[in-house]
Amino acid sequence: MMRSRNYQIFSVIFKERFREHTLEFIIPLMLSSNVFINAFYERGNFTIYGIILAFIPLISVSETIAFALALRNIIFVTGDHIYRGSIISFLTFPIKRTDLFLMMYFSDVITPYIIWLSTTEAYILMSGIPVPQFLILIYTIGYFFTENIILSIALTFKSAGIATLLSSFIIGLLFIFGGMLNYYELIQGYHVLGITSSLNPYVLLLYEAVNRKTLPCIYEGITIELIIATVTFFFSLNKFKRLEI
Amino acid sequence: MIRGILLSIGITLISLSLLSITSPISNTIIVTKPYCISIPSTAKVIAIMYENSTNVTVYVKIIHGNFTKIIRPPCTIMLTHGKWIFEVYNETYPKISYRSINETIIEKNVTIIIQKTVNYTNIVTTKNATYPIYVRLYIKCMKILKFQELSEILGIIMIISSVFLYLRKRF
Repeated sequence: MMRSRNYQIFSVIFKERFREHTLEFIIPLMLSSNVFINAFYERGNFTIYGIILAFIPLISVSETIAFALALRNIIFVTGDHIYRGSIISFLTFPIKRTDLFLMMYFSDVITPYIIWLSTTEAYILMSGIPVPQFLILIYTIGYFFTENIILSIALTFKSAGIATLLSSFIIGLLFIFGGMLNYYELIQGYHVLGITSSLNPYVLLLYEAVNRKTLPCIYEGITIELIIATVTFFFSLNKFKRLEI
Repeated sequence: MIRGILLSIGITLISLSLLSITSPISNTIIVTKPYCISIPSTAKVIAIMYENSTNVTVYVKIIHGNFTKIIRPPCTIMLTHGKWIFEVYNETYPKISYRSINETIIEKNVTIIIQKTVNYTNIVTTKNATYPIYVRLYIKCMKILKFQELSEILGIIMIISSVFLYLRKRF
């Protein structure tokens, strides 16, 4: 059976990112690394506090793998193609640049996310741990927020080295200093907590779990993250459409 | 690719269904207000209740579903699946109080009234948790998956499918 042209192009792009044995290694690793949810849940006396700790990026192995996989795809596959000029062979495909960008975006960013989501949801279902779906939503928005920033940097600077350093610096700065800012905001009064919560909402979630309070400003932070993620996505799309080799 | 993915997920599911966290964890909770804990069906938990103060008699009310029990620590209970609430039901302790008394002394035809402070002990029975109780939660083991059989069956099906796909390609 003859496959459609778009499917064949997508297949080439996908197989380049996920060569033989990558998915065979990544999927079970993501699934089994979720045992830390059980460990933290047990350690936290079966409270929501333990679950939130288990879902903090860098503590959660599964989330870190998904993030690292997308980062590697963006910088060291797509970014490397742009840096070396080999992207030209993809640009000569009989396909619109927007479609090509969406295919690359799907392979680079959305596929690791789908793997993470499916393995985590399957694990939550089978383990019977009452994980609030709000945590999944927060990671989802945070994931697209960071990956779209990395994609914008990679397409702007067109160098794997600069993109790696700059994205690590920016994301690390946002997450660590954002967490510190949230902490001081919580101590000294909620002046700009709605804005700072977009940088690291996990501090606020932990505060909510410990003090049994609700902070509606988390929603403001999520909205800001979503807006930035959308803006950086369209910025990257525009950059890719105007790409000159 | 599909064969490899099915095989690896199958092996992972079987491994997860066979594993459990057996490293014991112990946490001590100071109960002054009602303390609530939800025990999952995958965990084996023992609660040891005790009272640190020597001359305090305390009774603990334990609520689990429709079951309510009032017991006197120290005691040990096995916590099964569900919601458990621990609260101080009643406590009895001796309280030292002070009161002033006037003492009359007659010395050389002179009457002297001296005010003295004496202490006395009275037994206080209250429903307030003045002296907290301690609940030591001892988590003996926690299974990784709740639906172990389902996970095993899925794992076996995936492994068999991968072998079948491999054989179909080979022959």
